[in-house]
Parts: sequence; structure tokens; C-alpha cells
Amino acid sequence: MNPKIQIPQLFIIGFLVLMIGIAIHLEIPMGWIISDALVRLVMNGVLVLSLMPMLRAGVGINFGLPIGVVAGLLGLCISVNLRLKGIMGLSGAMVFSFPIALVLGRGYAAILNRVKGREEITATFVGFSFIPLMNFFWATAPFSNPGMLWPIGGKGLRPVIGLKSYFAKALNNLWMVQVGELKIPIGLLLFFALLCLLMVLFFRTNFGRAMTAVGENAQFARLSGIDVGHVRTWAIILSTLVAALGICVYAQSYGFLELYDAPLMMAFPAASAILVGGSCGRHTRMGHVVVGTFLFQTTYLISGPIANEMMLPEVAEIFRMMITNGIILYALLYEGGKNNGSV
Amino acid sequence: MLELKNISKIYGGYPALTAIDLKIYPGQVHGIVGVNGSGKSTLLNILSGQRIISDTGGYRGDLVLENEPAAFADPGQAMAAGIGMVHQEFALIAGLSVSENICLSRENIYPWSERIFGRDLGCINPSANRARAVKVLGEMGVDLDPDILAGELGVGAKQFVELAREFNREGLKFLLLDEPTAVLGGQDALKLITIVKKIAARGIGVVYVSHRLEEVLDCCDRITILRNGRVVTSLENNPSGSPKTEHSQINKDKICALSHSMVGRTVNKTQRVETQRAPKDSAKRPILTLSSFSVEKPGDCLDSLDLDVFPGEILGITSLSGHGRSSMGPGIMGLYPVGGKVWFNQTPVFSFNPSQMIQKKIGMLTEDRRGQGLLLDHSLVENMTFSAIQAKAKFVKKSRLPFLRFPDTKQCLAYANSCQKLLNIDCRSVFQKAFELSGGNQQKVCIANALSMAPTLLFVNDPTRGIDVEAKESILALLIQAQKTHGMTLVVSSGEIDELKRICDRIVVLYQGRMVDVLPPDMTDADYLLACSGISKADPGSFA
Repeated sequence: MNPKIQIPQLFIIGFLVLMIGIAIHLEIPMGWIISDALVRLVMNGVLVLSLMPMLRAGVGINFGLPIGVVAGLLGLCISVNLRLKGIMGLSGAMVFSFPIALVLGRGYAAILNRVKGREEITATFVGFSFIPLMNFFWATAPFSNPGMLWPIGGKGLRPVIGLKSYFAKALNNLWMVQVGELKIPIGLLLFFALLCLLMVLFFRTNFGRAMTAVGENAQFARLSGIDVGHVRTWAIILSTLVAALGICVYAQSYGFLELYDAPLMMAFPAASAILVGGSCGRHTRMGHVVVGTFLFQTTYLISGPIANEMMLPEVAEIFRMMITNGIILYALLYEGGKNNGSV
Repeated sequence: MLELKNISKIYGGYPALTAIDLKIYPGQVHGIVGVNGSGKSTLLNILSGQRIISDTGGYRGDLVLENEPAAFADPGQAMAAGIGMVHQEFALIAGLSVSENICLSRENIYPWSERIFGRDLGCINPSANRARAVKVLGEMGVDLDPDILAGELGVGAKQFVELAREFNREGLKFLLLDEPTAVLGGQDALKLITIVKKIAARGIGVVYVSHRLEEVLDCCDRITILRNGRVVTSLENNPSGSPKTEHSQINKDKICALSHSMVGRTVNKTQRVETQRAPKDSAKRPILTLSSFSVEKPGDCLDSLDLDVFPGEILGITSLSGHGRSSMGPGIMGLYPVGGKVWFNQTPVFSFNPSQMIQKKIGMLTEDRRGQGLLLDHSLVENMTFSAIQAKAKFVKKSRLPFLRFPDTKQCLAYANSCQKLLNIDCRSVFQKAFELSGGNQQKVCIANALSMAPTLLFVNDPTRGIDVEAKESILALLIQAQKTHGMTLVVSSGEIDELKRICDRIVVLYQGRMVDVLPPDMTDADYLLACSGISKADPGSFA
């Protein structure tokens, strides 16, 4: 892990310590905080993990995360439509979303490979413009499970689909262990650990190494006989695939399927989290993902009840937005500043 | 008179100019010659007040302009003091016509509009501008339509417009020309020289920087030779009445004398490294054949080259920078668009890309080590084995799944350790990051990476650029050793003629992207310099 602690991490750690102090003062139960923090780590962690391949390959932060999310949502819808339940339902959703993510990721890669150097802004708008297109699809999609459709008229999907009777919390509650006040979701944590392990292993393979090299020095990679465009394409597809898995985990944990405009802003908390972890462009490691998600989501988690106790409930949301976007802005400024300095 | 007194300039700890004393008289053309890196451009930058000088800590010494001390912090101040400069890159606005470009920022304005709106918002009088442009072009003797858009002009014409703009300036006292003929063909160059003389005849002092010696002799009243940032000598010259294409014997001798002063040594005293190879079999078939091979590398084009490279030889390629020496390797590797025909081992090559070339056992060592040659943030082991792992599936564990192939760390480490010993790489361990090493050691790591692919033909670009003297020696020795032990064919491009002479069997000299001559390594430096300025040994008396 990168030993250097930079300003965003310092800031967020300071904020978190302050929050925990207040939480203890307000006698908010610690057991609840910790178990919820673990759940939220995995719930968002997979989405954060999905940023890693693109960052490593030098494509930049995947602000087009909604693409992968949409693929995942489609998989989830198919699974719900087939009325699959429990772990079966969740794994079904993941399996169904896989080919969709593959196709969408390929198209997304084709776009990003045409705009080398301006990927991040392009990705943002690919995400933004893809959502309305999908809205049209959601409104007309030929799904038949009445639990998903508008109750009146019976056509088009609802904006929010409850997963309670299908696979809500299927993974959360897998092998849940209760120690006193503390609930430890062993299954969920193991799943996340497995994904992280697979990702680390991938970056140790030949192809994974090529991906890192493309991110660090594309010209060198090219001279070593690597097809840079091909590697970038696969990095983008991989990011899209993991993002699809990520939304599946997120949805089962949340208990609802949110369609229409819901994926629009999904990229930003994820990007913030990985930046908080200390990721700095190409130098992204697994530690950044895990630590960043944990710090960021725990801050989110605690700030809610504290703000409710001390101030107006809305304040928590305002703080969250400030933190999320402020960190991205800082990271962009920091990167830009470095570039200017080197000229 | 513009006088430089004891001017010194240091760039990043290295002296670029040391104690320069120069006097530039009005009405004279003062030539400044020197090889690459001798400080010519730095001198011009100081005189014209370029920002790069003050940004890098300024200079020491004094500038005296007509008995008044002068110092220019930016080009605007230099212009106000009457010093104009014509750059190597054109500063014309493509969307404006020739006359508009010539009168830019000095336009004629209808007096009534100036009275009402002031100079900045005044209404431009196009016909007066046009008339002025025609007059200036006429005085210069350039036949050019003033209404044509600057973007539609050829390079030569652009250079003349650029000159005309400076010529049009009122109060111009000194004009600095930086390689004004670098982009011009023979006829245009002659014309330019005539114009330069006309400008001088109007009482303007011209500083003429070039490494085309014959031109300098043709137009300069005084020639100063720079070497390693010092003035070697300053000599009077009597420019011949009119520039000629044919060179008299006297001129040729002068050029030789000049090039000796530029290089600083008369004959090559350095020991040639004995390669002791079997005498070259002339009946041998070439390993690489190029036929009208061109490479479009920006700023360093190669133009219709016909060449045979024989197996086992070390072929040198040299030229002044920007004349095409560094583009052959990258061209063959497919980094830039190429034209012409190429045969490798008698089989024609149609598609140029790095992975195919690596399969054919062609490799390249790039001159831009940090930008293209290394993964700076990775360990030496990874740097030395990366290409072989990726392109040749060497040092890879056997696996049935194509996506799940892992590098064999043991083999990698063994290779890295043996390379570290063999190439004598100075590092704490092979797990050190590449960016921590010095230039010479980084180059050795690059060599190890190239050797790991076992190439039969290796292109080496500027192998000793940015490397200290001691490391240079070991790099050269390594190249020869690699050539001997692996029977490799090397194509080494470099601006350091001395080094090429020590290791090469033959040396190709390029000028403006075209081959001038193929010289044996025992020719003198002066011969090489002549060839570098486009004068072929085989064809004396003419220049390209």
C-alpha cells in the first residue's frame, strides 16, 4: 500500500475521528455502526473495485460507471422476471448481466479509444446520455412479472422494484454470525475478498501486467509488441463487468432495484471513495480500494444519525454531497497541477 | 553596434555559454556557426530576450546596444529596442493574406478613424497596407502576390514573408536569423542570401546562425565559431560577389578549415575498438534491404533511402539533428508512417508494427529511454523481462488457459541477476525501481530488455545520449560484445560521430533526410562534417 498519506485521506480520517467521537458522546451503539460499516463496505466496495482496471490501464476514472450499472440492472430485472429467489436469484442476475456487460463494455470501449487523453469527460457524458436512452427502454421493456410493472396500466417498469420476495439481503445474510451486539456478514465479506483476490491475481498474469504497462507507458508497451488498443478495450470491458456485479451486490443489500435516473450519479461516490483511498491515477492498488471505500462509506454512515440528532436531517445529505464532489474536485486539481508543474 | 561582453549562461548546472565576447556591426552580416549543442540557439535567445532565458535563471555578463547597456526580459522589449528575430518555426497567421501578415500590428489606419476611436480601434486602410507590402517585397526582390493567404504558401515563400515582416519594421537595427535556410531548397536558399545581403546594405546588422558552412561563407562579413559554448575564433570573411552553386577550391578549403575549428580536433586520435570479426563476405546476402524507404517522423523525416544491411555488421547512421538519423528504427518498428519497400532476410515486409517485428527478431533501443524505453515505476526485473514475457512468451509458466498465464518469477529473477552481472549494472538490487537509476544504468536495463528477445537485427538510437563519459564507454563495449556473442546485426544511429567511428563498419551520412554518402570509419571528422552539410566526397564541388 502507498505509505504516503495525502490531504484527502488526512481530511477524511480527521472527519471520521471527529464523527466517531460525537457518536460515542451521543451514545449511538457501536455494534450497530461496525456491522453496518462492514455491510456498506461490500455494498459499495464492488462498484469501487470496478474502477480499478480502467485506472490501471491509464483510461482514467470510470465516470461512465452507469454503463456497467445498467448492464447489472438488466440482469437483475431478468432474474426478477423469472422469479428466482435467494442466492439463486442473485447469482442468476450476475450471470444474466455478464453477456450484456460484455456487449455494452465493448461499445463503450470503442468510444473511449477514439478520445485518448479526454476519456474522463467523454465517459461522464457517455454515462449521462446513456441513461435517457435506457429510460425509454425501461418504459417499454417486455417484462411480464406484475411485481415489476406499473400497477395501473400494467406496462413499463416501476422506478423502484422491491426485492424482498426475491433475493433482498440474500448475500448479506449468508453465514451471518452474531457476536453480542455485533453482526458479522461472513458470506458477504468472503465474496468481496474473493473478488479482490481475483482482481489482484489478474494483475499478476501476463495480460494484467500488460494492462499496467499500457497505463504507465503506452509507447513502451507498444514497442514491446502489445496491442495498446486491445488492452485498453479489455480494461474497459472488465470495468464494466465488475460494475455490473457491483450493482447486483448493491441492489440485494439495499433491497430495492432502482431504475430510470437512479444510476445517473452512481459514479461519483465510487470515484470519491477510490480517491480517498489514495489512488492517484495509474498507481491504484487494492489497498486504495478497500481503505477508501471503508473510510468514505463509514463517514457517510455515521454522519446520518449524528446530523439527525444535532441538526436538521437534511444537513447530513448536504455534507455528503460536499465531501463526495469536493474530493473529486481536489483530485482533478491535484492531477492537473502536477501536469502543469512538469512542463 | 551591438556588443556582448563576457556573456555566460548556465542551464541546469551545465554551462551553455561561457564568457562570450562579440561585436555585431550595423551593415554587416555576422555568421555564427557551430555543431549541435555549441550554444548558437542560446546566444540568439539571449539577444532576442526569449522567456526561456529569464525562466532558467537569466544570464551573466552585459549587452551593450549603441553604447547603452541593454537587457531584455521578454521579446517585446527586444523588438522595441530594434532587434528583430526570424524563427525556425513560422509565426504567420494562416488565415490572413501576405500583405496583412507583413503589416500585422503596424497597419496603416485611416487618420479620421484614429482621431475618433484611437489607434487600437481605428479603421484599417487595406490598400495602403497592400501598397506597403508590395513596396517591401519589391525592395527585397521577392515576386509574391500580396493577396494570397499565408496558409497557402509553400515553406520557402513563408520564410520570405517572415523576413519581409521584419524588413517592414521601422527602427529595425539588428536582425537575428536562426537557420533561415533550414527549410529551403537550393534556389530559395540562394535567393534568401541575396535578400540578407540587401538587408545588411540598408545598415542593419544581421546575425546569421547556420550550420551550412558554404552559405555562411557566401554571405557573411565576419564569422564566429562556437564550440562547447565558447568562442573558438572570429574571422573576417570576404563574401563572394554572388552566391554560386559551384564551389571553388578556395571555398572548399575554407569549409574544411571551418569544420576543423567546429569539431576542435583535427584527426581522430581516439582508439578504434577492435571488433575482430571475420572479414565481411561481400557475397553474403543482405539481412535487410531498403528500397526508396521513407519515414514520416515529424521533425526528422527520412526520404527515399536505398540501403543494404549485411548480417553481422555494425552500421552507423549519422546526420545533424533533424536530418533523419533517428527515424529508420522507429519507422521499421511501425511507430511512424513509412513508404517504399523493405525486405528482411529476402522476404518482403508489408506491415510494420512492433509485435510482428519482434516475431521476426527485429528489436529497437529507443533514444527516449524515460519516455519509451522503461517502466520507470517498476522494478528492474520487470523492466528487463517485460518485452520477452509479452511478445515472446518467454519466462512464462505453462498454462492451458490463455488468460491465466503467470510470469515465472524464478526464471525472471535468474535472467535479471545474470544481466546485472554481465552488463555490470550498478544497483542495490534488481528489485529497485527503474527511475532510481542513473542514465547509463537505465540504458543497460534497456539493453537487457532488448537482448531478452534475442533479436538478430537491433536498431540502436543515440545509445549514449545523456550518459556520462565513463558509462558511455561501457555502453559501447556492451554493444560490441552483444554483436560478437549473439552474432547480431546492429544499426546504430547517433550524432556523436566519434563514437560511431569507433564501433561501426560503415557509416551512412544523411542530409535533409537523404543519403549523402556511406563512409568508412577511418575518415576524418572534417570529412564527416562536410558530408553532414550535404557535400558528398564522391562528388566534390556540389552541394545538395
